[in-house]
Amino acid sequence: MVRTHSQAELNGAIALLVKSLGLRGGETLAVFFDETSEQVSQLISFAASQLGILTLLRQVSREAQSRFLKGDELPLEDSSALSEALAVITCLGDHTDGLAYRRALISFGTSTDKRMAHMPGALPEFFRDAIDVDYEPLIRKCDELAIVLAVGSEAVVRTYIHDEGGLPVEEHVLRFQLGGMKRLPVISTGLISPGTWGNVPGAETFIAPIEGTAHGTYVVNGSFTDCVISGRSRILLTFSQGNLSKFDGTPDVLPKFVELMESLPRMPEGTVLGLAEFGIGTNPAVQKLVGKSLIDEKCLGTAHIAIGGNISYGGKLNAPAHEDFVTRFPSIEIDGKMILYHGKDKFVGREWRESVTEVEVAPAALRRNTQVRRTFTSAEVGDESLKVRRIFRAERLCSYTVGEPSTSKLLSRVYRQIPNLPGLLEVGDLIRSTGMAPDLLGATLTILHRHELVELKE
Amino acid sequence: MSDFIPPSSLIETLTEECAFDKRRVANTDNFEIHYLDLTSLKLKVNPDSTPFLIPKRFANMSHITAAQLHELILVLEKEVGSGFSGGVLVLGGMLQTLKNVTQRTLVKNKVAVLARNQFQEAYQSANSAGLISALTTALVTALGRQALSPYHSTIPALAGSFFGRGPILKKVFDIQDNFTFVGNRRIGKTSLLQEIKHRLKISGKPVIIADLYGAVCSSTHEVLTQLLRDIDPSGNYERHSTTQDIGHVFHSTVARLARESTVVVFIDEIDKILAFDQRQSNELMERFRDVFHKANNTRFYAAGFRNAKSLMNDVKTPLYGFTKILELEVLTRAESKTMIELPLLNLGIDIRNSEIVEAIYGETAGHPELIQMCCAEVIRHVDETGGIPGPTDLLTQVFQSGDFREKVFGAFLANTHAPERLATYLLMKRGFKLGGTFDNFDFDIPTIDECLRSVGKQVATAELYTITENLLISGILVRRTGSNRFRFAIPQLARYCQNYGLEFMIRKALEEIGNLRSSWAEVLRGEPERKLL
Repeated sequence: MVRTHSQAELNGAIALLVKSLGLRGGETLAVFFDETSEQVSQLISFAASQLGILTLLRQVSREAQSRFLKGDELPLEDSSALSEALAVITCLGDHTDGLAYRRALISFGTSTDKRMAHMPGALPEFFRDAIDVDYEPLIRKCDELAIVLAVGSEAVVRTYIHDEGGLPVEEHVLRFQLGGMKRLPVISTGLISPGTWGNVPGAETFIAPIEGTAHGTYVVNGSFTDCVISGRSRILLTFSQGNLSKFDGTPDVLPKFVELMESLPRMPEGTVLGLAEFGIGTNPAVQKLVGKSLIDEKCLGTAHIAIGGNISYGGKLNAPAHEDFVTRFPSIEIDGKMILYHGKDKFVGREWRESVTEVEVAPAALRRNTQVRRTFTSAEVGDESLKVRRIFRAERLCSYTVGEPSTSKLLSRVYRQIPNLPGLLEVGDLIRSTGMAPDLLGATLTILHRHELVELKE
Repeated sequence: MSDFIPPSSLIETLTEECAFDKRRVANTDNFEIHYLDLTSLKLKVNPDSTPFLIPKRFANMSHITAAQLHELILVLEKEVGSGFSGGVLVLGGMLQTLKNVTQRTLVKNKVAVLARNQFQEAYQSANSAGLISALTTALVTALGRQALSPYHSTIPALAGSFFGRGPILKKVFDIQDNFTFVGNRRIGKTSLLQEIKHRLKISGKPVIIADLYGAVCSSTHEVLTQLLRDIDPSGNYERHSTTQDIGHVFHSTVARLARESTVVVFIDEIDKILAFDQRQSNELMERFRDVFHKANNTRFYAAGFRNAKSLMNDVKTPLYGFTKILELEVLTRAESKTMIELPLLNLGIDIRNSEIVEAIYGETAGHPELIQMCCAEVIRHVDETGGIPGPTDLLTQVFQSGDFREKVFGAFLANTHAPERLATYLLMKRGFKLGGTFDNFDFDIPTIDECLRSVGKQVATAELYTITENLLISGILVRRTGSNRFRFAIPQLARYCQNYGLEFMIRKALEEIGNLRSSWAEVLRGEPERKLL
């Protein structure tokens, strides 16, 4: 049945094509959908036709998806559609038995330099508010959270059971390690670069916590797949040595949760479900939770964790499932600094972004004969700021601004003076070419070095 | 568990668990020899098969001393003779620690030893990864990483050294048709032809192959004579002095042989042949079409540049519809990852959890030859220092090598005209202004126009298209599929140029353009020798 789309939904679909995927008239888009998302595919297709974008539609039944096993080769029709398009939208159902197929599509697409919008379980309603948004503040928020999760070492997540009036009455604490630069977070802004994939609607920053470190309890008071939780209802997850060791919940939602857990693909013998993801939503346009992680985990003021696999964004857990659990109004401390307090933003830039006036200068950065060279880490060098930009595990992007505003400008100025690999120069040369005082230059080099943008060789 | 594992049982396990095809079995006085195809290891091993030697005299021995092994090698030297090019000696018993002299004899004879000490654990648990690891460790000990390395850019790659192109090979072998493979130079067209040839040879079906390097041919007679010499070496073709005669002989010979076997013609670098054939009204290609188009048991495979594609797609020529055109692009990220990770792992260098893979892919953008150079450097570093290089050290070493610079920067200078270089520098300048991350910097023809206008150069539309097309042919730019956008093929080119000084390069290009005696259109039509990239 053809459904009439509202103007707001159409605007969302147009924003998906133009803003998220950067498509223009005359370019080619491939859309993968199934019987659960026909209306979404029609909406996208209609929006594309309005813009003069050529659409290759591939309907793949849920049954065909579930027959597809890890390691199978994609059918020729699928690989051809992926190959011919500049951008791809996968709006298939979010059922677990289609995970291998969805992963294969993403892997093929990102492997061939496509921009991939991944929208498992998408419904036309999702297009109404959450996609056609002002991306500027949303990107800024993701950027702030990215530096926190990149440099942070320990996370303490406090989640709450609320009373009917919404007041917290019981607190639970989950602790885990983040890696402190050893593991990078992923930013999912909803704007997708070539060769990467991201969810649309976007707006979250997330990370794969260090395996084996999660310990404590976590209240799911927001949502999980096909279930929205409200009031005093909740699921309580207990983690021990990184793994989910126990779960419990109120009788109204526990059966659904048990059903979900039982529907997960059987894990290989000897393996258990570990903490795979910790993420924070940043999209102010997501007003209510709907029981679809695609949209719920983006909601501003919420956080989520996931159990299952996380190989694709830098973790080591290889599992055939991935389930997200959203919590409302959490408080989050990283390395003892509050970044979210009962769902309210508490990020303070100066706590996370270095200043040249405060940084403890590395001795090597002060020696004139120390050699300075760029590293393989790529940087986005603007006139006003410097950003780390790393694509890792072949498909996900980590990007964050280094330094508080005036420092970042300075970092950018110094970084420009350092030649590209294989070139290098000495600190003394840099003092001459930048005209900066040795102490100030030393401070900038120390910060660049801390973020692995330069190497200092004595 | 007995104290002896029958070697033949290990070989069966290798074929079943590790999927190494067994080609054949032979017997000599002292050895039972099983020939296994090890090319799936993605190492430089014999493309046909590797002999696994089971010494009959040690058939039931639980322990073998170094002296006994030394004696065995001498027997092997005598028995298998000078044509022996290495193999794996399989011992079902435990092997004593070897003396240096025995070790040297093994290395000299290219014999890897796989004794029970090495494979017992993996064998008992039927652990295929463990068995492969035991085997590759033995190979590396005997032959060394350099000898087994598949990363050699000077010779065409096939079998174990061949990577990627899965969908293309699938089409070639699934669709019974003629194919022309087009793509930039050094993208792997010759290797692809060699790989197809290799697969045909090992298919077990009767096949007759003729092979021609087109760049050295200058007449129809020469082309057909050379092909006939391969197809039917018994013929005396010198007596056919006219082109018409040799044409008839070619047609009848292929038709005759195709009754019994598949006759396959490979022509590499077909562009020069197409060029002279155009001047003679496509006489030769007409002939090929007569012989190969929709004919049973014949195949015609050619490789050329994008010029070949345009001619083959020209409805006014007999080439149209004669072959299917398949374009060779750079390797995909997944293909590149396999090319980087798998051979290195089998050489005992596990970089799967390091950032090297992404660093190599990011800098080579899937260009097979550049990947080869990076991986060869990883092997050199490991052999020299015993440790895996950090990504920055690796890239520094590679980027400062003359070879890499020549292939990226030297080739750019050699294969472009001044207007193309100017456009390239201006695009790079824009890319750096936008942050300098070239993986997400793409542009279209209006952008190129804008860049040229910014230095006062107003260029006709046709010339803009020619500049773009020439930069694509030279491998400087690649098109983003599904759009009219382009990106730089190799980000490092922009960085080399920036290190030399982009403003200086722009000034020089403008000077060169100022000194041109011909119009841009004439200059751009001229064909520089596009020899690299």
